Amino acid sequence: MMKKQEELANFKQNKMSTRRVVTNTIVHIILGLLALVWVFPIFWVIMTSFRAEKGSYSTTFFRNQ
Amino acid sequence: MAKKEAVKSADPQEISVKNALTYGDAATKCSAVILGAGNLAKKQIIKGLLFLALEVAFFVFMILKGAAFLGGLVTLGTSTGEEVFNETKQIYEYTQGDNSMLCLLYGIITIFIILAFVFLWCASLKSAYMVQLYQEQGKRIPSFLDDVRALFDQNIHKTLLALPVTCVIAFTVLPLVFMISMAFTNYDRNHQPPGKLFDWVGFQNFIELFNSKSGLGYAFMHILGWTLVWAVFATVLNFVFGMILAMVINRKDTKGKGAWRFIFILSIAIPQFVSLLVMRTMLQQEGAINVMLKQLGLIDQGLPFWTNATWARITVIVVNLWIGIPYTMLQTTGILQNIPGELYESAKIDGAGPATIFVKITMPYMMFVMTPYLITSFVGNINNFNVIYLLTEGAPKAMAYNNGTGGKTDLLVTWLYRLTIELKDYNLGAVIGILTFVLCAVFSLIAYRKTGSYNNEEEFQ
Repeated sequence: MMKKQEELANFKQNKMSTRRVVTNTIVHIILGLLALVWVFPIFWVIMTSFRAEKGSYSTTFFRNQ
Repeated sequence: MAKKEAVKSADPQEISVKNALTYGDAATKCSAVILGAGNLAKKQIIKGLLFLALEVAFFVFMILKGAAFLGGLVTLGTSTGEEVFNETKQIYEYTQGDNSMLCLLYGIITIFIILAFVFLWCASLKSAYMVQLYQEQGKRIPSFLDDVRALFDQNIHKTLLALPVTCVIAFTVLPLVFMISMAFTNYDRNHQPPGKLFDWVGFQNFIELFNSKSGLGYAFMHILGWTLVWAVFATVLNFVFGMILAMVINRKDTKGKGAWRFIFILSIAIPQFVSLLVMRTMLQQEGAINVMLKQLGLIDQGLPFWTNATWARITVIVVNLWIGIPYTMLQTTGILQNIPGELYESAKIDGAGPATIFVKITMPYMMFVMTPYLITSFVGNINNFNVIYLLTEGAPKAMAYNNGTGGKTDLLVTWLYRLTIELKDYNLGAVIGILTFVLCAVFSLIAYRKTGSYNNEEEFQ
Protein backbone atom coordinates (compact mmCIF):
# COMPACT_ATOMS: atom_id res chain seq x y z
CA MET A 1 0.00 0.00 0.00
CA MET A 2 2.70 2.40 1.11
CA LYS A 3 4.81 1.45 -1.87
CA LYS A 4 1.99 2.09 -4.27
CA GLN A 5 1.40 5.51 -2.83
CA GLU A 6 5.07 6.33 -3.10
CA GLU A 7 5.10 5.18 -6.67
CA LEU A 8 2.09 7.30 -7.42
CA ALA A 9 3.73 10.34 -5.87
CA ASN A 10 6.90 9.63 -7.78
CA PHE A 11 4.95 9.24 -10.97
CA LYS A 12 3.16 12.51 -10.33
CA GLN A 13 6.43 14.26 -9.63
CA ASN A 14 7.97 12.80 -12.75
CA LYS A 15 4.99 13.92 -14.77
CA MET A 16 5.27 17.39 -13.25
CA SER A 17 8.98 17.63 -13.96
CA THR A 18 8.65 16.39 -17.56
CA ARG A 19 5.90 18.97 -18.09
CA ARG A 20 8.16 21.59 -16.61
CA VAL A 21 11.01 20.57 -18.89
CA VAL A 22 8.72 20.71 -21.90
CA THR A 23 7.37 24.19 -21.04
CA ASN A 24 10.87 25.40 -20.30
CA THR A 25 12.12 24.18 -23.66
CA ILE A 26 9.22 25.76 -25.48
CA VAL A 27 9.73 29.06 -23.67
CA HIS A 28 13.42 29.08 -24.48
CA ILE A 29 12.81 28.23 -28.12
CA ILE A 30 10.26 31.05 -28.45
CA LEU A 31 12.65 33.45 -26.72
CA GLY A 32 15.41 32.35 -29.08
CA LEU A 33 13.24 32.96 -32.15
CA LEU A 34 12.22 36.39 -30.85
CA ALA A 35 15.84 37.20 -30.12
CA LEU A 36 16.72 36.30 -33.72
CA VAL A 37 14.02 38.68 -34.97
CA TRP A 38 15.39 41.41 -32.71
CA VAL A 39 19.01 40.90 -33.59
CA PHE A 40 18.53 40.42 -37.33
CA PRO A 41 18.13 44.11 -38.30
CA ILE A 42 21.00 45.07 -36.02
CA PHE A 43 23.19 42.40 -37.57
CA TRP A 44 22.10 43.74 -40.95
CA VAL A 45 23.18 47.27 -39.98
CA ILE A 46 26.58 45.97 -38.92
CA MET A 47 27.00 43.92 -42.10
CA THR A 48 26.03 46.93 -44.22
CA SER A 49 28.79 48.94 -42.66
CA PHE A 50 31.39 46.40 -43.84
CA ARG A 51 30.06 46.11 -47.36
CA ALA A 52 32.06 47.27 -50.34
CA GLU A 53 29.00 48.33 -52.36
CA LYS A 54 27.58 51.75 -51.71
CA GLY A 55 24.19 52.23 -50.14
CA SER A 56 22.16 50.00 -47.88
CA TYR A 57 20.01 48.56 -50.66
CA SER A 58 21.28 45.03 -50.86
CA THR A 59 19.79 41.59 -50.91
CA THR A 60 22.63 39.45 -49.64
CA PHE A 61 24.39 39.21 -46.35
CA PHE A 62 27.95 38.82 -47.52
CA ARG A 63 29.92 40.45 -50.28
CA ASN A 64 28.89 39.71 -53.82
CA GLN A 65 31.68 38.02 -55.73
CA MET B 1 -18.78 82.24 4.52
CA ALA B 2 -19.79 84.27 1.49
CA LYS B 3 -20.31 87.29 3.73
CA LYS B 4 -16.87 86.89 5.20
CA GLU B 5 -15.35 86.79 1.73
CA ALA B 6 -17.31 89.88 0.74
CA VAL B 7 -15.98 91.68 3.80
CA LYS B 8 -12.49 90.53 2.97
CA SER B 9 -12.64 91.79 -0.59
CA ALA B 10 -13.84 95.18 0.65
CA ASP B 11 -11.00 95.38 3.19
CA PRO B 12 -9.25 98.67 2.45
CA GLN B 13 -6.05 97.22 3.88
CA GLU B 14 -5.76 94.80 0.99
CA ILE B 15 -3.53 96.04 -1.82
CA SER B 16 -5.48 95.68 -5.04
CA VAL B 17 -6.20 97.77 -8.07
CA LYS B 18 -9.86 98.12 -7.08
CA ASN B 19 -8.98 99.35 -3.59
CA ALA B 20 -6.41 101.73 -4.98
CA LEU B 21 -9.06 103.31 -7.17
CA THR B 22 -11.73 103.49 -4.44
CA TYR B 23 -9.76 104.27 -1.28
CA GLY B 24 -6.67 105.89 -2.78
CA ASP B 25 -5.85 109.52 -2.14
CA ALA B 26 -5.40 112.07 -4.91
CA ALA B 27 -1.80 111.04 -5.70
CA THR B 28 -2.68 107.34 -5.80
CA LYS B 29 -5.62 107.93 -8.11
CA CYS B 30 -3.39 110.17 -10.20
CA SER B 31 -1.13 107.12 -10.75
CA ALA B 32 -3.84 105.65 -12.94
CA VAL B 33 -3.02 108.32 -15.50
CA ILE B 34 0.56 109.27 -14.72
CA LEU B 35 2.23 106.06 -13.61
CA GLY B 36 4.40 106.52 -10.56
CA ALA B 37 2.66 109.74 -9.41
CA GLY B 38 1.77 108.15 -6.10
CA ASN B 39 5.36 107.02 -5.54
CA LEU B 40 6.75 110.41 -6.51
CA ALA B 41 4.37 112.20 -4.10
CA LYS B 42 5.62 110.02 -1.25
CA LYS B 43 9.32 110.55 -1.97
CA GLN B 44 9.93 107.23 -3.73
CA ILE B 45 11.63 109.18 -6.49
CA ILE B 46 13.53 106.46 -8.35
CA LYS B 47 10.65 103.99 -8.34
CA GLY B 48 8.22 106.66 -9.47
CA LEU B 49 10.54 107.83 -12.22
CA LEU B 50 10.99 104.24 -13.39
CA PHE B 51 7.25 103.79 -13.71
CA LEU B 52 6.98 107.10 -15.51
CA ALA B 53 9.85 106.32 -17.88
CA LEU B 54 8.30 102.99 -18.80
CA GLU B 55 4.97 104.66 -19.45
CA VAL B 56 6.59 107.30 -21.65
CA ALA B 57 8.52 104.59 -23.51
CA PHE B 58 5.30 102.66 -24.08
CA PHE B 59 3.43 105.64 -25.46
CA VAL B 60 6.32 106.71 -27.67
CA PHE B 61 6.46 103.16 -29.06
CA MET B 62 2.71 103.06 -29.58
CA ILE B 63 2.63 106.40 -31.41
CA LEU B 64 5.68 105.76 -33.56
CA LYS B 65 5.16 102.07 -34.41
CA GLY B 66 2.53 100.30 -32.33
CA ALA B 67 -0.54 101.94 -33.86
CA ALA B 68 0.68 101.06 -37.36
CA PHE B 69 1.42 97.49 -36.22
CA LEU B 70 -2.07 97.13 -34.79
CA GLY B 71 -3.53 98.44 -38.04
CA GLY B 72 -1.37 95.92 -39.90
CA LEU B 73 -2.69 93.15 -37.68
CA VAL B 74 -6.23 94.03 -38.74
CA THR B 75 -5.54 94.34 -42.48
CA LEU B 76 -2.50 91.99 -42.73
CA GLY B 77 -0.99 94.25 -45.38
CA THR B 78 -2.68 96.18 -48.15
CA SER B 79 -0.11 96.73 -50.91
CA THR B 80 1.61 94.00 -52.89
CA GLY B 81 5.03 94.53 -54.40
CA GLU B 82 4.71 96.03 -57.89
CA GLU B 83 6.76 97.09 -60.85
CA VAL B 84 6.79 100.89 -61.03
CA PHE B 85 8.32 102.85 -63.87
CA ASN B 86 10.87 105.35 -62.62
CA GLU B 87 10.76 108.39 -64.96
CA THR B 88 14.08 109.87 -63.95
CA LYS B 89 16.10 106.66 -64.20
CA GLN B 90 14.03 105.29 -67.10
CA ILE B 91 13.87 101.83 -65.53
CA TYR B 92 11.29 99.64 -63.83
CA GLU B 93 11.68 99.44 -60.10
CA TYR B 94 10.10 97.03 -57.73
CA THR B 95 8.32 98.51 -54.75
CA GLN B 96 8.50 96.75 -51.45
CA GLY B 97 5.01 95.47 -50.72
CA ASP B 98 3.62 94.57 -47.33
CA ASN B 99 4.68 91.27 -45.84
CA SER B 100 1.58 89.72 -44.28
CA MET B 101 3.57 87.37 -42.11
CA LEU B 102 5.59 90.19 -40.57
CA CYS B 103 2.40 92.25 -40.14
CA LEU B 104 0.90 89.35 -38.21
CA LEU B 105 4.04 88.83 -36.13
CA TYR B 106 4.54 92.51 -35.26
CA GLY B 107 0.84 92.90 -34.51
CA ILE B 108 0.96 90.03 -32.04
CA ILE B 109 4.12 91.39 -30.43
CA THR B 110 2.36 94.76 -30.04
CA ILE B 111 -0.56 93.05 -28.32
CA PHE B 112 1.88 91.40 -25.93
CA ILE B 113 3.50 94.77 -25.24
CA ILE B 114 0.07 96.26 -24.50
CA LEU B 115 -0.63 93.40 -22.10
CA ALA B 116 2.71 94.06 -20.43
CA PHE B 117 1.72 97.71 -20.07
CA VAL B 118 -1.58 96.73 -18.43
CA PHE B 119 0.45 94.64 -16.00
CA LEU B 120 2.71 97.63 -15.35
CA TRP B 121 -0.32 99.87 -14.82
CA CYS B 122 -1.70 97.48 -12.19
CA ALA B 123 1.72 97.23 -10.54
CA SER B 124 2.03 101.01 -10.39
CA LEU B 125 -1.42 101.46 -8.83
CA LYS B 126 -0.75 98.75 -6.28
CA SER B 127 2.64 100.19 -5.44
CA ALA B 128 1.15 103.68 -5.03
CA TYR B 129 -1.59 102.36 -2.77
CA MET B 130 0.89 100.42 -0.71
CA VAL B 131 2.99 103.51 -0.07
CA GLN B 132 -0.17 105.39 0.85
CA LEU B 133 -1.07 102.71 3.41
CA TYR B 134 2.47 102.79 4.81
CA GLN B 135 2.18 106.54 5.26
CA GLU B 136 -1.26 106.33 6.88
CA GLN B 137 -0.02 103.71 9.34
CA GLY B 138 3.03 105.83 10.10
CA LYS B 139 5.50 103.17 8.94
CA ARG B 140 8.79 104.11 7.36
CA ILE B 141 8.45 104.31 3.62
CA PRO B 142 10.96 101.92 2.04
CA SER B 143 13.63 103.57 -0.03
CA PHE B 144 14.65 102.31 -3.47
CA LEU B 145 17.61 100.57 -1.90
CA ASP B 146 15.24 98.76 0.48
CA ASP B 147 13.16 97.62 -2.47
CA VAL B 148 16.20 96.29 -4.28
CA ARG B 149 17.34 94.53 -1.11
CA ALA B 150 13.87 93.00 -0.73
CA LEU B 151 14.21 91.50 -4.21
CA PHE B 152 17.01 89.33 -2.81
CA ASP B 153 15.22 88.59 0.43
CA GLN B 154 11.46 88.26 0.90
CA ASN B 155 10.79 88.93 -2.79
CA ILE B 156 13.43 86.49 -4.05
CA HIS B 157 10.76 84.57 -5.98
CA LYS B 158 10.19 87.60 -8.19
CA THR B 159 13.90 87.90 -8.98
CA LEU B 160 14.27 84.21 -9.72
CA LEU B 161 11.12 83.92 -11.81
CA ALA B 162 11.50 87.12 -13.83
CA LEU B 163 13.87 85.67 -16.43
CA PRO B 164 12.22 82.28 -16.94
CA VAL B 165 8.73 83.79 -17.19
CA THR B 166 9.91 86.39 -19.70
CA CYS B 167 11.64 83.73 -21.78
CA VAL B 168 8.63 81.41 -21.72
CA ILE B 169 6.37 84.23 -22.85
CA ALA B 170 8.76 85.39 -25.57
CA PHE B 171 9.87 82.01 -26.92
CA THR B 172 6.91 79.73 -26.21
CA VAL B 173 3.67 81.62 -25.71
CA LEU B 174 4.26 84.23 -28.40
CA PRO B 175 5.18 81.74 -31.16
CA LEU B 176 2.23 79.59 -30.12
CA VAL B 177 -0.18 82.51 -30.46
CA PHE B 178 1.45 83.33 -33.80
CA MET B 179 0.94 79.76 -35.05
CA ILE B 180 -2.61 79.56 -33.74
CA SER B 181 -3.54 82.82 -35.44
CA MET B 182 -2.31 81.38 -38.76
CA ALA B 183 -5.20 78.91 -38.60
CA PHE B 184 -7.58 81.80 -39.14
CA THR B 185 -5.86 83.16 -42.27
CA ASN B 186 -5.55 81.94 -45.85
CA TYR B 187 -1.76 81.57 -45.64
CA ASP B 188 -1.52 78.76 -48.19
CA ARG B 189 0.60 78.00 -51.27
CA ASN B 190 -1.25 80.68 -53.27
CA HIS B 191 -0.68 83.42 -50.69
CA GLN B 192 3.02 83.24 -49.94
CA PRO B 193 4.69 86.34 -48.53
CA PRO B 194 6.72 88.19 -49.62
CA GLY B 195 5.08 89.12 -52.88
CA LYS B 196 1.57 88.02 -52.08
CA LEU B 197 -0.67 88.93 -49.20
CA PHE B 198 -2.79 86.70 -47.04
CA ASP B 199 -5.80 87.78 -45.05
CA TRP B 200 -8.05 86.77 -42.20
CA VAL B 201 -10.69 84.24 -43.19
CA GLY B 202 -12.21 83.42 -39.82
CA PHE B 203 -13.23 79.80 -39.33
CA GLN B 204 -13.21 78.96 -43.03
CA ASN B 205 -10.24 76.58 -42.72
CA PHE B 206 -11.97 74.67 -39.93
CA ILE B 207 -15.19 74.47 -41.93
CA GLU B 208 -13.29 73.23 -44.97
CA LEU B 209 -11.48 70.58 -42.93
CA PHE B 210 -14.71 69.29 -41.41
CA ASN B 211 -16.60 69.29 -44.70
CA SER B 212 -16.53 65.59 -45.52
CA LYS B 213 -17.58 66.22 -49.13
CA SER B 214 -14.35 68.01 -50.07
CA GLY B 215 -11.16 66.05 -50.68
CA LEU B 216 -9.59 67.80 -47.72
CA GLY B 217 -12.38 66.87 -45.31
CA TYR B 218 -12.35 63.29 -46.59
CA ALA B 219 -8.61 63.09 -46.10
CA PHE B 220 -8.85 64.59 -42.62
CA MET B 221 -11.54 62.21 -41.39
CA HIS B 222 -9.75 59.14 -42.74
CA ILE B 223 -6.31 60.17 -41.54
CA LEU B 224 -7.74 61.00 -38.12
CA GLY B 225 -9.38 57.57 -38.03
CA TRP B 226 -6.15 55.79 -38.91
CA THR B 227 -4.24 57.92 -36.40
CA LEU B 228 -6.54 56.74 -33.61
CA VAL B 229 -6.44 53.11 -34.76
CA TRP B 230 -2.66 53.28 -34.97
CA ALA B 231 -2.33 54.90 -31.56
CA VAL B 232 -4.54 52.28 -29.90
CA PHE B 233 -2.81 49.33 -31.56
CA ALA B 234 0.70 50.67 -31.13
CA THR B 235 0.11 51.42 -27.44
CA VAL B 236 -1.88 48.34 -26.43
CA LEU B 237 0.16 45.77 -28.39
CA ASN B 238 3.44 47.23 -27.19
CA PHE B 239 2.21 47.13 -23.63
CA VAL B 240 0.76 43.63 -23.76
CA PHE B 241 3.65 41.98 -25.59
CA GLY B 242 6.27 43.90 -23.64
CA MET B 243 4.66 42.78 -20.39
CA ILE B 244 4.41 39.16 -21.51
CA LEU B 245 8.05 39.20 -22.60
CA ALA B 246 9.13 40.70 -19.29
CA MET B 247 7.18 38.07 -17.35
CA VAL B 248 8.53 35.22 -19.46
CA ILE B 249 12.10 36.39 -18.90
CA ASN B 250 11.39 37.00 -15.23
CA ARG B 251 10.07 33.45 -14.73
CA LYS B 252 11.89 31.44 -12.12
CA ASP B 253 12.89 28.71 -14.58
CA THR B 254 14.16 30.90 -17.40
CA LYS B 255 17.88 30.54 -17.82
CA GLY B 256 20.19 33.44 -18.69
CA LYS B 257 17.86 36.28 -17.75
CA GLY B 258 20.54 38.92 -18.23
CA ALA B 259 21.47 37.64 -21.68
CA TRP B 260 17.86 37.72 -22.92
CA ARG B 261 17.35 41.22 -21.59
CA PHE B 262 20.58 42.33 -23.23
CA ILE B 263 19.52 40.98 -26.62
CA PHE B 264 16.17 42.72 -26.56
CA ILE B 265 17.52 45.98 -25.22
CA LEU B 266 20.18 46.00 -27.94
CA SER B 267 17.64 47.51 -30.33
CA ILE B 268 17.37 50.61 -28.13
CA ALA B 269 21.08 51.20 -28.61
CA ILE B 270 20.74 51.63 -32.39
CA PRO B 271 19.50 55.10 -33.34
CA GLN B 272 15.88 54.83 -34.36
CA PHE B 273 16.31 56.43 -37.74
CA VAL B 274 19.08 53.99 -38.69
CA SER B 275 17.12 50.90 -37.74
CA LEU B 276 13.93 52.27 -39.29
CA LEU B 277 15.59 53.10 -42.60
CA VAL B 278 17.24 49.67 -42.65
CA MET B 279 13.85 48.05 -42.01
CA ARG B 280 12.45 50.12 -44.82
CA THR B 281 14.99 48.88 -47.36
CA MET B 282 14.76 45.33 -46.05
CA LEU B 283 11.01 45.26 -46.61
CA GLN B 284 11.01 46.71 -50.13
CA GLN B 285 9.42 44.79 -52.99
CA GLU B 286 12.88 43.49 -53.97
CA GLY B 287 14.37 43.87 -50.50
CA ALA B 288 16.16 41.35 -48.34
CA ILE B 289 13.09 39.79 -46.73
CA ASN B 290 11.24 39.25 -49.99
CA VAL B 291 14.32 37.87 -51.75
CA MET B 292 15.01 35.51 -48.89
CA LEU B 293 11.43 34.26 -48.84
CA LYS B 294 11.60 33.75 -52.59
CA GLN B 295 14.85 31.81 -52.36
CA LEU B 296 13.31 29.61 -49.70
CA GLY B 297 10.49 28.99 -52.19
CA LEU B 298 7.76 30.21 -49.86
CA ILE B 299 6.44 32.89 -52.22
CA ASP B 300 6.57 33.56 -55.96
CA GLN B 301 6.17 37.31 -55.88
CA GLY B 302 7.45 39.85 -53.38
CA LEU B 303 5.04 40.65 -50.60
CA PRO B 304 3.62 44.20 -50.98
CA PHE B 305 4.87 45.44 -47.59
CA TRP B 306 4.80 49.13 -48.51
CA THR B 307 2.61 49.21 -51.60
CA ASN B 308 -0.64 47.68 -50.37
CA ALA B 309 -2.53 49.90 -47.89
CA THR B 310 -3.51 47.13 -45.46
CA TRP B 311 -0.10 45.45 -45.65
CA ALA B 312 1.62 48.77 -45.07
CA ARG B 313 -0.54 49.56 -42.04
CA ILE B 314 0.09 46.17 -40.45
CA THR B 315 3.81 46.31 -41.26
CA VAL B 316 4.10 49.72 -39.64
CA ILE B 317 2.45 48.44 -36.48
CA VAL B 318 4.66 45.33 -36.42
CA VAL B 319 7.86 47.31 -36.96
CA ASN B 320 6.74 49.63 -34.19
CA LEU B 321 6.50 46.57 -31.95
CA TRP B 322 10.15 45.88 -32.67
CA ILE B 323 10.93 49.41 -31.48
CA GLY B 324 8.50 49.57 -28.56
CA ILE B 325 8.55 46.19 -26.86
CA PRO B 326 12.07 46.55 -25.38
CA TYR B 327 11.08 49.82 -23.69
CA THR B 328 7.97 48.27 -22.15
CA MET B 329 9.95 45.20 -21.15
CA LEU B 330 12.52 47.34 -19.40
CA GLN B 331 9.88 49.22 -17.44
CA THR B 332 7.73 46.25 -16.52
CA THR B 333 10.79 44.27 -15.44
CA GLY B 334 11.45 46.93 -12.83
CA ILE B 335 7.88 46.77 -11.56
CA LEU B 336 7.81 42.95 -11.55
CA GLN B 337 10.93 42.82 -9.43
CA ASN B 338 9.36 45.26 -6.98
CA ILE B 339 6.26 43.17 -6.28
CA PRO B 340 6.86 41.50 -2.89
CA GLY B 341 7.54 37.77 -3.28
CA GLU B 342 5.52 36.95 -0.15
CA LEU B 343 2.35 37.94 -1.99
CA TYR B 344 2.99 35.25 -4.59
CA GLU B 345 3.95 32.65 -2.00
CA SER B 346 0.85 33.17 0.13
CA ALA B 347 -1.31 33.15 -2.99
CA LYS B 348 0.20 29.80 -3.98
CA ILE B 349 -0.37 28.36 -0.50
CA ASP B 350 -3.99 29.49 -0.69
CA GLY B 351 -4.25 27.50 -3.92
CA ALA B 352 -4.37 30.28 -6.50
CA GLY B 353 -3.50 29.29 -10.05
CA PRO B 354 -1.19 31.30 -12.30
CA ALA B 355 -4.17 33.02 -13.95
CA THR B 356 -5.63 34.18 -10.63
CA ILE B 357 -2.22 35.33 -9.42
CA PHE B 358 -1.77 37.34 -12.59
CA VAL B 359 -5.21 38.97 -12.44
CA LYS B 360 -5.23 39.63 -8.68
CA ILE B 361 -1.61 40.53 -7.94
CA THR B 362 0.49 41.28 -10.99
CA MET B 363 -2.06 43.26 -13.02
CA PRO B 364 -3.19 45.68 -10.27
CA TYR B 365 0.42 46.46 -9.37
CA MET B 366 1.33 46.90 -13.00
CA MET B 367 -1.63 49.07 -13.93
CA PHE B 368 -1.17 51.37 -10.96
CA VAL B 369 2.31 52.29 -12.12
CA MET B 370 1.84 51.91 -15.85
CA THR B 371 -1.40 53.81 -16.55
CA PRO B 372 0.19 57.27 -16.63
CA TYR B 373 2.88 55.80 -18.87
CA LEU B 374 0.22 54.28 -21.12
CA ILE B 375 -1.49 57.66 -21.45
CA THR B 376 1.73 59.41 -22.39
CA SER B 377 2.64 56.68 -24.83
CA PHE B 378 -0.83 56.89 -26.42
CA VAL B 379 -0.41 60.62 -26.91
CA GLY B 380 3.16 60.02 -28.08
CA ASN B 381 1.87 57.52 -30.64
CA ILE B 382 -0.72 59.97 -31.96
CA ASN B 383 2.25 62.23 -32.67
CA ASN B 384 4.63 59.41 -33.66
CA PHE B 385 6.33 61.21 -36.51
CA ASN B 386 9.56 59.19 -36.59
CA VAL B 387 8.22 55.72 -37.19
CA ILE B 388 5.71 56.63 -39.88
CA TYR B 389 7.78 59.18 -41.74
CA LEU B 390 10.97 57.14 -41.83
CA LEU B 391 9.23 53.91 -42.74
CA THR B 392 6.66 54.94 -45.33
CA GLU B 393 6.46 58.76 -45.63
CA GLY B 394 2.73 58.10 -45.53
CA ALA B 395 2.78 55.87 -48.62
CA PRO B 396 0.86 54.33 -50.32
CA LYS B 397 -0.58 57.62 -51.53
CA ALA B 398 -4.31 57.90 -51.96
CA MET B 399 -5.72 60.15 -54.66
CA ALA B 400 -8.94 60.61 -52.71
CA TYR B 401 -6.92 62.14 -49.85
CA ASN B 402 -6.89 65.78 -50.96
CA ASN B 403 -5.45 65.02 -54.43
CA GLY B 404 -2.79 62.68 -53.16
CA THR B 405 -1.26 64.92 -50.51
CA GLY B 406 -2.14 62.32 -47.90
CA GLY B 407 -1.35 58.63 -47.80
CA LYS B 408 -2.88 55.56 -46.24
CA THR B 409 -0.37 55.31 -43.42
CA ASP B 410 -0.15 59.05 -42.79
CA LEU B 411 -0.76 60.23 -39.25
CA LEU B 412 -2.04 63.74 -38.63
CA VAL B 413 1.50 64.90 -37.83
CA THR B 414 3.14 63.47 -40.94
CA TRP B 415 0.31 64.85 -43.08
CA LEU B 416 0.73 68.20 -41.36
CA TYR B 417 4.45 68.04 -42.08
CA ARG B 418 3.88 67.44 -45.78
CA LEU B 419 1.17 70.12 -45.99
CA THR B 420 3.45 72.75 -44.45
CA ILE B 421 6.99 71.84 -45.50
CA GLU B 422 6.34 70.51 -49.00
CA LEU B 423 3.09 72.18 -50.01
CA LYS B 424 3.33 75.42 -47.96
CA ASP B 425 -0.27 75.29 -46.75
CA TYR B 426 0.54 76.83 -43.39
CA ASN B 427 -3.08 77.61 -42.59
CA LEU B 428 -4.09 73.96 -42.84
CA GLY B 429 -1.03 72.96 -40.86
CA ALA B 430 -2.03 75.32 -38.08
CA VAL B 431 -5.62 74.02 -38.03
CA ILE B 432 -4.47 70.39 -37.89
CA GLY B 433 -1.96 71.28 -35.19
CA ILE B 434 -4.68 72.88 -33.08
CA LEU B 435 -7.00 69.91 -33.56
CA THR B 436 -4.24 67.43 -32.67
CA PHE B 437 -3.51 69.42 -29.55
CA VAL B 438 -7.18 69.46 -28.55
CA LEU B 439 -7.41 65.72 -29.15
CA CYS B 440 -4.34 64.92 -27.06
CA ALA B 441 -5.20 67.36 -24.29
CA VAL B 442 -8.80 66.22 -23.87
CA PHE B 443 -7.86 62.54 -23.98
CA SER B 444 -5.00 62.77 -21.51
CA LEU B 445 -6.91 64.99 -19.07
CA ILE B 446 -9.92 62.67 -18.96
CA ALA B 447 -7.86 59.49 -18.86
CA TYR B 448 -5.36 60.74 -16.30
CA ARG B 449 -8.02 61.98 -13.88
CA LYS B 450 -9.58 58.52 -13.89
CA THR B 451 -6.38 56.65 -13.01
CA GLY B 452 -5.67 55.15 -9.63
CA SER B 453 -2.34 56.91 -9.42
CA TYR B 454 -4.12 60.26 -9.55
CA ASN B 455 -7.09 59.44 -7.34
CA ASN B 456 -5.60 57.23 -4.58
CA GLU B 457 -2.06 58.35 -4.32
CA GLU B 458 -1.89 57.01 -0.78
CA GLU B 459 -3.09 53.50 -1.50
CA PHE B 460 0.04 52.22 -3.22
CA GLN B 461 2.36 50.48 -0.83
